[in-house]
Amino acid sequence: MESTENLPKRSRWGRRVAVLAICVLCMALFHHPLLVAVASVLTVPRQPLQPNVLIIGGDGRYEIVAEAIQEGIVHRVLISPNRQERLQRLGILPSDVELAKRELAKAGIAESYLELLPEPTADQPIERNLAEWCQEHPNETISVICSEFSAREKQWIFSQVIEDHSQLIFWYPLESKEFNTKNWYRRKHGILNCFGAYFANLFLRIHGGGIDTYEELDPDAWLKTKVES
Amino acid sequence: MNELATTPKKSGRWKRLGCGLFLLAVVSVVLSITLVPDRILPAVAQFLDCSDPVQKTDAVLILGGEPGIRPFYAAALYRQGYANRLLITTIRKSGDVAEGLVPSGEELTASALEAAGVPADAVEILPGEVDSTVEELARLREYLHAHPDQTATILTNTYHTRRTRMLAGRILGDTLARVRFLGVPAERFNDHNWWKSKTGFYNYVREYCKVLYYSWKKIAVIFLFVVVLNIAILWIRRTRRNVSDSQIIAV
Repeated sequence: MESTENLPKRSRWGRRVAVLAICVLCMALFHHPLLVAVASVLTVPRQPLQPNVLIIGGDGRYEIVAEAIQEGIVHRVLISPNRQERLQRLGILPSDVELAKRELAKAGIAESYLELLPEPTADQPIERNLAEWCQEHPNETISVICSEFSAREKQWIFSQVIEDHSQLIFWYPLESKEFNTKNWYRRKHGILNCFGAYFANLFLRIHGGGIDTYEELDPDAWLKTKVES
Repeated sequence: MNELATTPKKSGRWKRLGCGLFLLAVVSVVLSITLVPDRILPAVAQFLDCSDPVQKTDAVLILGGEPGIRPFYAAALYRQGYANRLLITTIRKSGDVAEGLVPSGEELTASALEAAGVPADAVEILPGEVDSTVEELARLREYLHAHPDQTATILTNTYHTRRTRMLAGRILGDTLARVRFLGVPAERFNDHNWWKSKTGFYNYVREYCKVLYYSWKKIAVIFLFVVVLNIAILWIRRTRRNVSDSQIIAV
């Protein structure tokens, strides 16, 4: 076989261009399976629903939980209250707890099915709250319902804290109504979600889990300093 | 013959020097970001903030997104007499909004403005659904065409002002001269800690990607320039080599 060292420069460049052209052609021909694989990294396989569910996100989450309760599969719904930011404080936007109560009540599900986890804080994030819940309920299995593209990230966060109870946690990722791993690249929201999920995973690997800080500023005071400066 | 033998060595030396310099540049950037992030990353954030000084304009367009922040700063502008009219756009529904779980973007903004003390008659919802900053700016252009004597401030978050300004330059046309830009702070992160917050990290990286995407023409010109420059250098070197080879043969 002729080594690259012995080849004339022009032929070496020709070979490089040919390899590049073949790569580009392959990517164009097989873009669909490649892009499906890119998105599949972000999700985890869906497992059967367990008697306890923790709702984190996902399109149609309340309908699925309500159906599962009516069919007798789910007995308890865990809700983690979100932080009260300006819109929730002013009553403009419902909190996660109010939303869950309202949506499940629409399907005729009683409030007694709901159990609130403590409000997550920087020192005590949701995964720690769930770990404590698992310790208190050692024989109970739980399904975590989340959006399809955030499943890998959530699984990683939970695995950092709930190692001892990982066999009790089952994952139930929900596809968005607009896109999924097979067609995400055809929709703007799909591309943004995929991009965001990759960055969320990257951020996690760099900084670990936890929640963002939140400081409610006074817009009038800010405007005054802006005008003065 | 000696001359011919040294030519590949020389080119290899240049190649090694080029690679070394490139590696050094990459390593120094990575090292400085890792060792002194507090000095470099705030500047990376400040680059995206292209706000104008606050000035009175007839209207303020509140760009969609961050309904818990932007409307409250717009309301402050209104209350302190920097604007008489607040404009909002109708954002295309998706996710929880499409499912009817939470109010739509314009409903949230209108409610936030009302809660912040802005009378309903000072708020105007621009017609047509939008799904991007480009479409929002197109709505503003229509508004400014319909109101030729009015000026407007585009209100968004600081990290979004550079891209908004770039897009406005293309979309607003002759109305651009009547437009100002104002960036308001995000409340989960700021210029000095954005890389420690998941939302901040995502927002800044996304903004840089979008800024690069929207300046693809400039990038393409630079790329083309580099390619042409490289070809020219290669051609000059080859011509020189051929000349020296022919001189040796002649000798």
